[in-house]
Amino acid sequence: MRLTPAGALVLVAFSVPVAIELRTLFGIFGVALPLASVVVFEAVLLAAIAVAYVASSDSDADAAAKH
Amino acid sequence: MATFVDRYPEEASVVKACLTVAFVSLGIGAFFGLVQALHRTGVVRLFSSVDYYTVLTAHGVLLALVFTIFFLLGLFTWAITRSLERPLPNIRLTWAWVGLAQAGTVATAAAILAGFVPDIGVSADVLFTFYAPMKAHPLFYAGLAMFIVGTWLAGADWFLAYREWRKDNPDERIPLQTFMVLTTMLMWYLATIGVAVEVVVFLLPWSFGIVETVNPLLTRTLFWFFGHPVVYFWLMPAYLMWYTILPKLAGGRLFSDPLARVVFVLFLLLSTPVGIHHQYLDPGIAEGFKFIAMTNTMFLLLPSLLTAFTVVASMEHGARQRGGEGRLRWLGALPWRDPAFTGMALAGLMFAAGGFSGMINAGMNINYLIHNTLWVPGHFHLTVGTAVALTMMAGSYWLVPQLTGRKLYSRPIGLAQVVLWFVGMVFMSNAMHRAGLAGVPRRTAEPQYNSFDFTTTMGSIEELQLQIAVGGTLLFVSVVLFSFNMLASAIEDPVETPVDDRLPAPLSGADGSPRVLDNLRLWTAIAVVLVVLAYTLPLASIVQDAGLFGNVPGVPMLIGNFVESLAGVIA
Amino acid sequence: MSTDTEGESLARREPDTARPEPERPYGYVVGSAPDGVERELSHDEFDPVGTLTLIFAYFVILVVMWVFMYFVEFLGRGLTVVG
Ligand code: HEM
Ligand SMILES: [Cu+2]
Repeated sequence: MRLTPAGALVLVAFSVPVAIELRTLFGIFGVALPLASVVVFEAVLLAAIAVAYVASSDSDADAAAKH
Repeated sequence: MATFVDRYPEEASVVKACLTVAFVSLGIGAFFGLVQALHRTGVVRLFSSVDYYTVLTAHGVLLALVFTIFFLLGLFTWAITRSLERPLPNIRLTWAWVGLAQAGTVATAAAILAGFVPDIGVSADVLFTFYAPMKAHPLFYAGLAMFIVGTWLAGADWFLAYREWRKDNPDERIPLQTFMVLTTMLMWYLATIGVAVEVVVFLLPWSFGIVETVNPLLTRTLFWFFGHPVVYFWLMPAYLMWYTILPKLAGGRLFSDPLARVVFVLFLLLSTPVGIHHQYLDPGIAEGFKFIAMTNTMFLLLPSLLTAFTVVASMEHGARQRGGEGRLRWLGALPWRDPAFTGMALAGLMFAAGGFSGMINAGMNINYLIHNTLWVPGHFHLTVGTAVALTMMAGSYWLVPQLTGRKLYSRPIGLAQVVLWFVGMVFMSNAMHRAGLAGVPRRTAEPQYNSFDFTTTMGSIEELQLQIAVGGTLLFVSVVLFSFNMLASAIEDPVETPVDDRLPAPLSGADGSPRVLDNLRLWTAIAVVLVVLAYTLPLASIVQDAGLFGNVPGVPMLIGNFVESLAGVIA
Repeated sequence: MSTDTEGESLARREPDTARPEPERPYGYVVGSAPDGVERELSHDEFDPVGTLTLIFAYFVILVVMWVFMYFVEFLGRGLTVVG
């Protein structure tokens, strides 16, 4: 399945609550992380989305080339 | 292909007149939202804290009452006309209710905004819940009364349209959108009895000085008699769009028409007899009555769960028709670049999150944890502030081109706008919930106290304040983008096909479902009975305690007291 | 054009609607997702497993958060005296 630009945008938006709540999740298990950790989580998630986006458009190009 | 405006030009003008009021209120209200978000977090204080309640009243009234209800008036007019496939029977009546509701709105807004200029001597800083003992200028209540009568006439107009249609179609099932409009309006008639009595019998004479005192608990209870069902009055237009428009926007069809009807009937039955769940901490209402209200509230979860299933299944149907596969991968096949779709889907997602904080609010005991804290605005900015408001904005991207015959100015800006709203609301609402848990009060200009610090379970209070301020700013920017896009769309050139307005039939239609679903008289009668059962005793006890217009101080705390005194009266 | 009478319109559409959605950053018509439909699924052919997965996940989150709120946040504090 190709990741469209709009799909990537929505994923980016969705990553924001995930990043915020990851810190909460750690908090529940007694690991108190500073605010900066949210930024780090978000950066990791953004990188993951970017990789997925590039990979999916590459594989798409491959598929197109074979035809 | 002709669209709505070509077929029903008069009705399209009516809908546009309603949406214009809605969008103007949205713009002003969002500005006040930004101002108060910055003020109460201490980031920027543009004005004196003395004016905070003027700002807060304007924000609450303009957004929660004017924006939502005017959008509803427009949307329902569109839905009735479209689904009955005929113009409204009497367009003069239609314009009359539009004018009345608009005039009422102007009066109410003027009374509130006059509060900024003390010299005028008019003010209405009573918040959007406006119950005693806070008193507003009569202009505020008079405007409110006109506004509500306007909505009643609108309902009458739609029922007349339905009756005309019924004459020509004696055996057909009520079209789904019409069914939704009619059940919602029946609920509204029942619910507004409370606020009408409150305003006309008590608050208006009181504010004119005709009566000296009121019974504050009675006005509160009458307000909440209306105040819970009004949330469904906000929500039903969003549900109408989720059930009848969203499946199409996803490329699919509504999963089940009968299930949608069942949900609307359940809301008609259960919306009103639960209002006391807003009064868990009111002294003077016996615990037993509160418990009954809580039980009824839990039953209300049922239609919401049915909705979650039906709406998500309809989206999945669209995704699979568009080639989606897998347990979760189908989500990628949804038309995310369509702002109307994406906005509604994100609104639904936030509503699911709001369902969680709603469950906490509804529990009589856990409610004490968060009552009157910032948690509560955190909750309802997910529900009315996003599930409803974002669905309405997103729906406009699809609806407005049908009314103007012009295409949307910019789809990418629309997409950015709905995504920005989502992100902004994640920040603001999340931090509000957390600040509430830390005990930060709502409705407070300067929530800061000498030699007392709020302690949070996670992070610092400053961090939460900052999140609220940042979130509020993103939300405001989102509204600016929305308004810009709507204005720019209004000056596009008219085109043949500004929007794809076809609505496919549901996967499972109404034909096989029981006819009793369409028996509106029956459901109304049951709804009335439930309200009588839920409210007679509490109201009687409140009046018995302190009199209709208030003066007796004693208030019972246990249902036992009341039953004893009732027995005393009867004996 | 009521929702209830429009059943055929999906089937009536021209065959070219089955073509994959062209990438058109400008001029995409709002509401045109049905143009991207590759196959028609009737009520019986459609199995909403994805919906059940999502709702189940939501349920689990709901229960965990409720338990957290009730036992940790609520019972974990001092007594609330009302009345
Ligand atoms: C620009 C977006 C918005 C911002 C920045 C915003 C901000 C706020 C803030 C900070 C409060 C809490 C004030 C306090 O308790 O001291 C508040 C209250 C409120 N908001 Fe919003 N809001 C926004 C949009 C909305 C929308 C779209 C709605 C409804 C459709 C809404 C309805 C309300 C209501 C009903 C209250 C409660 C007023 C009261 O306590 O009397 N808001 N808002
Ligand atoms: Cu309620």
